Amino acid sequence: MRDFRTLLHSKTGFIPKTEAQALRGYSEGILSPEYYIYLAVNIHPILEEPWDVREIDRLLAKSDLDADTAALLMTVFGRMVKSKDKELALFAAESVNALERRFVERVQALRKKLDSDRSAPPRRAVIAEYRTLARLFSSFPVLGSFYLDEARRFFVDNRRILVDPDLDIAVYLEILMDRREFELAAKVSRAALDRWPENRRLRLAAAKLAFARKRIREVIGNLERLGGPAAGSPDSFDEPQLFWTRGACRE
Amino acid sequence: MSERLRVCMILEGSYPYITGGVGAWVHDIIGGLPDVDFCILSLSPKADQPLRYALPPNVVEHRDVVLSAPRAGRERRPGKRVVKAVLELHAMMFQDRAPDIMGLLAARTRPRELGNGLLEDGRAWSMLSGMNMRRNPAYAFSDYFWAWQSAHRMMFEALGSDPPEADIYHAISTGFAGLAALNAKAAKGKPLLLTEHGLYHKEREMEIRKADFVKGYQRDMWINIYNSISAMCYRNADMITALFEENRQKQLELGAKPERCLVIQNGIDVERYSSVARSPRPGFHVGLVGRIVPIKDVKTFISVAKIVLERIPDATFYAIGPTDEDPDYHEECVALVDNLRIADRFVFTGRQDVLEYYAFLDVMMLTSVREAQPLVILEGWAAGVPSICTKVGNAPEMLDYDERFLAPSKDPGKLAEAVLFVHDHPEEMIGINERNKRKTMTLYNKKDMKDRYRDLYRSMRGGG
Repeated sequence: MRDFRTLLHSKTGFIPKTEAQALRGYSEGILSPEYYIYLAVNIHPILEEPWDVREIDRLLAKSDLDADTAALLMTVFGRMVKSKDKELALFAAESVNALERRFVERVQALRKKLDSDRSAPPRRAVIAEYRTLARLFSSFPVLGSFYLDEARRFFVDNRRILVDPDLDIAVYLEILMDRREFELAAKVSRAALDRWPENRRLRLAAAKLAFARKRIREVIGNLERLGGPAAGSPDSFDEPQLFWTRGACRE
Repeated sequence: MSERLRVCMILEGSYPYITGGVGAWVHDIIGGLPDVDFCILSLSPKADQPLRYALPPNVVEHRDVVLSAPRAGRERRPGKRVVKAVLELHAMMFQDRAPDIMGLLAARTRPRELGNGLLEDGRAWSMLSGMNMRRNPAYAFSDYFWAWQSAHRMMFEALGSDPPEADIYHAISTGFAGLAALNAKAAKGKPLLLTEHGLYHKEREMEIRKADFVKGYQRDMWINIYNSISAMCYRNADMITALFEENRQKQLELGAKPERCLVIQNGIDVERYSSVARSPRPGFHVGLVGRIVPIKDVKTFISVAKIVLERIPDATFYAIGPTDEDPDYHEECVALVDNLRIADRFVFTGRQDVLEYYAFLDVMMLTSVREAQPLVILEGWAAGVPSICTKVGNAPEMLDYDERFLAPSKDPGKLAEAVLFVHDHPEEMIGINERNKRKTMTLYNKKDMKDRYRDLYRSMRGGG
């Protein structure tokens, strides 16, 4: 294998940006293997300065950008926008606008469908998108809380349709907790658990709420009510439940 | 040559079809130099757009070129000299040497020789397919071909445009307008003046980077194309003007010659704005003058309002500008105001005579994520209203880098601090306002700007 000076002296016009591209270039005999190795092992965390603008740019270009990646990008842009490098700051500010616009357009597209579709799934999708926007703007408090409140309002406006304890009520509880409306959340939680006492997600939400309100006995009580770990495949509640009920929290 | 100076302004996607900063500037220059005849060569995305400006009487000719219009019939194969020049130009570009665009234009025997007819030539076709093999080998040639086609078709139209006769060709940007201007210079042997408000290639780069529809290698390809076009324009313009020094430096970086690069800042009608009779109103009044569009970041202005109102409950905020350009964004802003429960302290005025607001505003704010040289700051200063601005474009220089009145983009907390500073230091602000007013009268008088362009036109006449 030639050494990595190959990368510096290469006359190829094709510069792979991802490991997949480099591997494909190698398999087609266009690139030497150093490209693949370089991209595969030379990992620069996206949050770390100096920023890898090429990688950020590549992620931003993804049309099917998921919420986790978008949130990561927003964290980067939130820092970059304060950069002394005016071009970087401009890029960050414009990218924040672009990301917001992309997710707001998803909400608008979903809301357009609601007149002709009275079912719950598109409404849940609207709430999910609002929550994503709230998460994206978590470092911009006014806008973050605005989008969270839009999610809350949308739920309230559609509460006759959104009645599933797992998919709707538990989500509503999470929104209220994110908004730190603990009293209202407690009221909603009690009413929901009266109706669905064995619902695992509601029970865990009640435990989280109790934790947020610093009521540790209630946390343990709710988690003990969950019974053992879920039958069959374990679910996402098991770990926190075991933490609280097997005594690790007291160590 | 007639006695009256004749200038052909070359514009892309702007005057006289689109209103806004550049359009208003062009209209002002033309109207303000009645002793000069103007022709307009506009490059448009589509035909028959309605005029947004009544052309002043000294506009003697207007031609519109539609960049996306397909050429009728099969195109003729270009001559050998042109093919050779095309190959040389690309070879230079790929070796990071300055491509000889003027040599290519001079090689033509007919104006529209550059076009898809090039593909009939085996060497040109080999270059195209070879470029794909060398630069994007892992991708289908068809993708590359159509990307090449969409970029080059517009270039061919710009380079094949038929410019009106003029003494000077004045391009108001690089990009396709710049190419049309290079073509005019080559065809008519007359000098080329290039004026940039923003930096075309930087603006396009930003659009491409935030777009999700330009994929993979095509993003770099488009960015390289725009950079190359700007570099060609900078190298071949006889004079270049920028609005401020920072942009001039960027022009120099891309190959402009220092002795041909000037800064001519924009100006305002100082008499008009300084004649505003100030009549402060009770309370504290904060205004943003601008269109209600994302680039002005009105949501950050609303966030500032929310923060400030917690300290100054009787403050009132005004978003003064048209709301119809991006109705969805305006709707989002209204929803944000409602949601924050500040609707009784926040007004979307719509399009208004700003002079009425300059009479009573206590402070102006610009929360834009991008600006060149924001004239509203100067208007406010002339009227006696201080300004707070994000650190964009020329704003920091205009505000003497005074951190009390500057904040990073999207930082409502820091912007709110600046508003509170103005509110809490009325005595100090009197002196600052007077200084700002003097500075505007001295440095940013529109009359001076027009005189400088008149002088520049006169000095360039006969060159080329």
